[in-house]
Amino acid sequence: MSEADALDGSYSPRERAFADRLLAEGLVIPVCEACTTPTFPLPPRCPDCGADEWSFEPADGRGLVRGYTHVRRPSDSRFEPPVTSALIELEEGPAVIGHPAGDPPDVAVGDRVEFVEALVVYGRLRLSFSVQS
Amino acid sequence: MSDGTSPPSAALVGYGETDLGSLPDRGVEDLCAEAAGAALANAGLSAADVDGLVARTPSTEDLGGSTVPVIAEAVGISPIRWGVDVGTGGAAYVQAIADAGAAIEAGLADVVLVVAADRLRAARAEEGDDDLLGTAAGPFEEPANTVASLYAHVANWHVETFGTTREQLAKVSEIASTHAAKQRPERAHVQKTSTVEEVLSSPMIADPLTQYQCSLVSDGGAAFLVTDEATARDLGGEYAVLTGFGAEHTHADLSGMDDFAETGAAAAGDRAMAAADVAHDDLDVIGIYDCFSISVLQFLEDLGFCERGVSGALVESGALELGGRWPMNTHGGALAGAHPGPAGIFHVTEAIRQLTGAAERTQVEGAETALVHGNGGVFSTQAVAVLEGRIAP
Repeated sequence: MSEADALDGSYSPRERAFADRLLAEGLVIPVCEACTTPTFPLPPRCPDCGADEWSFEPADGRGLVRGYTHVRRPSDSRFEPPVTSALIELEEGPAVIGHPAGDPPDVAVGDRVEFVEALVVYGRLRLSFSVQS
Repeated sequence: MSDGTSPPSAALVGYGETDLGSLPDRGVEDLCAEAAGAALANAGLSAADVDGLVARTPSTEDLGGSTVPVIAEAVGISPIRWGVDVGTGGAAYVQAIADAGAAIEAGLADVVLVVAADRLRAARAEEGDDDLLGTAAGPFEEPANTVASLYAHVANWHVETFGTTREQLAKVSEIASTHAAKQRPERAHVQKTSTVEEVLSSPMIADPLTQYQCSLVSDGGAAFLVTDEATARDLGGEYAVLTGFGAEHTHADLSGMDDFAETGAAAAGDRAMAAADVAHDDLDVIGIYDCFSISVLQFLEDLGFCERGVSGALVESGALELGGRWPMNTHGGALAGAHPGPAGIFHVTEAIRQLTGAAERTQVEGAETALVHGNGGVFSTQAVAVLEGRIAP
């Protein structure tokens, strides 16, 4: 598992370009240049106004856990269970699904998390967070 | 002509189901043909009477061509003058009632067959997959996730936000198994009741969802026939009519779900019940999409069967069991009846059975009004129908 691992073929061109940006720049949030709506991940058109002009704002990195789980039967048998996943509401508004690191991490609804890094695991992008105690 | 609030006129005049469970020797087209044949026999119609089709592209087989003509030919109804392939996941079979009704009302077809079958269990055995939980995680959604683990995020939210207990989640599966255990063996994948304790001690898939709280992996299919009410009366006997319908499709990935506290089922259910002019007290039997235990808790709240956050208590109250206020998923649902892929079609055929007095050991005495709901994706697509039983004069 390293940044050198390539993204697999499941990424569309737009998705791959955005994933590459996250890997290179860290957590950035697409912001519509027409109506300033932030969204994540990068969609083909702004969900609010339909425009296709974007700026990419570096995220504060902080968020709140809305929901989470410890995955015991992961999608890929190479993952060693449990793998924790959380739906995180970023300060900027959009929600992302990320991986609170830990062994397993002590996560609860409402916990504060902070973005750590984007990396590729088994061909797919992982957004890694740390749980703030 | 629909006035915009009333649903299209649709009479459900026949249903058919294949055996459900493990059917390694039958392919998707065979299962569709079997289900369609059973529905036609049930309705007293022949294949030649059918001129419209709602079909579903299977996930386990490549049909080799466009789904509609392949399935139309497989079930013996070609040529047809109207055909559509569904795309809203488990909401599709409820929405199909309105799709078919709209086509019939517009004069594009007279008799529409809705059919869906798949073979998740056989496919898993053939491919040697240990689990067919599906990699539903989007490209930006923690790659270890599956369909089950995505739903589990919402389960923990519900537990920690409202104090819902693991026992209440598991009770959903216990009820499903109790209803399934009353079916003829070929009609339900699960043959015995699982207690709450047994549900909780089944293997953990993604905390807090244990295996028995996740959809079955089955083979099988079902079909139903839709026509106009005049034809239904001519056919005689009992049938069901669509009195209310609503759909609301809100997001694709879980991260696109604005608020776990309300799915599109709330808006869809409001529209369906308003159009049908029914209150919850008027509902005799209900079908709630049950891909996972948490799904049922969410939808009971969205559909107004209880206040937000207290569906756990409703599940434990007995109200959703046979003899209760709103017997739910009397066929066993996706959790205990069958889930070959298109699990939602069985919620519709079960409603037809209930409203036409054909539900055998799980018949709700005097059932006249049913609410049927379907969900697809990760709480992504929602459709709700209110159906009423009728007897041809």
